[in-house]
Amino acid sequence: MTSQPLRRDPEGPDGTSLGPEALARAEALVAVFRERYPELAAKSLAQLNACWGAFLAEGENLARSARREELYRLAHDYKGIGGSYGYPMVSAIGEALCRLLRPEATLDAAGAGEIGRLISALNLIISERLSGDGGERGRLLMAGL
Amino acid sequence: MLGAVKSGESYSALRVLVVEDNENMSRLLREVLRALGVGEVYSAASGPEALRVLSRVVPDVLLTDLALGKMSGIELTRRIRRGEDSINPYVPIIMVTGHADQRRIAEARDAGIHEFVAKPVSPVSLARYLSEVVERPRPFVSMSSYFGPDRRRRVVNRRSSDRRERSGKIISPDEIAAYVERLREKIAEGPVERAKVPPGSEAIAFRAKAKEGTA
Repeated sequence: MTSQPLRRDPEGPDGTSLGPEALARAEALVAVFRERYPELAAKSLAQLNACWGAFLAEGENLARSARREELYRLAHDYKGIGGSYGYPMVSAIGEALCRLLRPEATLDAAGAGEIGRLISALNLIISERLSGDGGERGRLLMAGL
Repeated sequence: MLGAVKSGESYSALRVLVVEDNENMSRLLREVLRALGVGEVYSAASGPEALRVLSRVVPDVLLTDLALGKMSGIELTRRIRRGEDSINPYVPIIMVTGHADQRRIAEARDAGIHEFVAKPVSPVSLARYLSEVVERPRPFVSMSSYFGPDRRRRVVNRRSSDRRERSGKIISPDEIAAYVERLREKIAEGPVERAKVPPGSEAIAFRAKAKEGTA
């Protein structure tokens, strides 16, 4: 049935039967990825900033703008990926952006202003490498949003 | 392979296909799977690409994002489970997504996924769901309204009044493992595509019977 013999590992924690060594290896890897996240996120952050900048320059109504879909897609990526890379604040901001940008949401000038503040906060979190809860700086930032 | 991994064994012989359109997320998933000990990790960036990969690789598990562009993870699942061109309708599918609302979860389950994992993903959550599908393979249910893993997780004594028994077919993990093994042998000879599979071949015949509930 299998081409290779299967090695037996001890029972692992939290309902998985993989050994603690395998899980520790994976957790260590995520820590490495956490360090690299700001560099890895640079491309999509530039796309988000460019899309938002173009919208502001055009002075369009965001509710009807074709850029809304693109902004939503990028925000959704942040929502899913940030936390997976150890940046839960990025996920929280991505989720808030998705709520504002979802197709059925009514989007007015106040909402557009909120989107701008959230995007600025996202830039700050990534440029200052505020992983986890971001410490005191992160807590203050999130409290202010 | 599937069905051969017992609780407590490592995953060095396991093959996993990751379908994710975001390169950063794809890379993270692939690397975490390798760190967990998965022997072979394949990737595709879209539904159509995943279907092409499935013509030359028989993964033990398919891990897919829900939002994948034109062909969503749910549509991909439907194509794999019920598509006329699907060659491996039994591959366990774990859906990874940020859209973890009840409507989408229900839609994904009806399409025939095994597990639904909400992002953010951690090594522990990934390992837990991987263990679930690999170490506790579920039978498949083939009915006119549903084709996919049995959604009952508990082992129950089936009575003759069981709706599945009456209106469909239960395909056991052993039968699925035998089918997958035959498919692997066939694919070892070259990519299997619908047009290249001789009509009436064992794989297609089995697949058709499974769909009709007569296998």
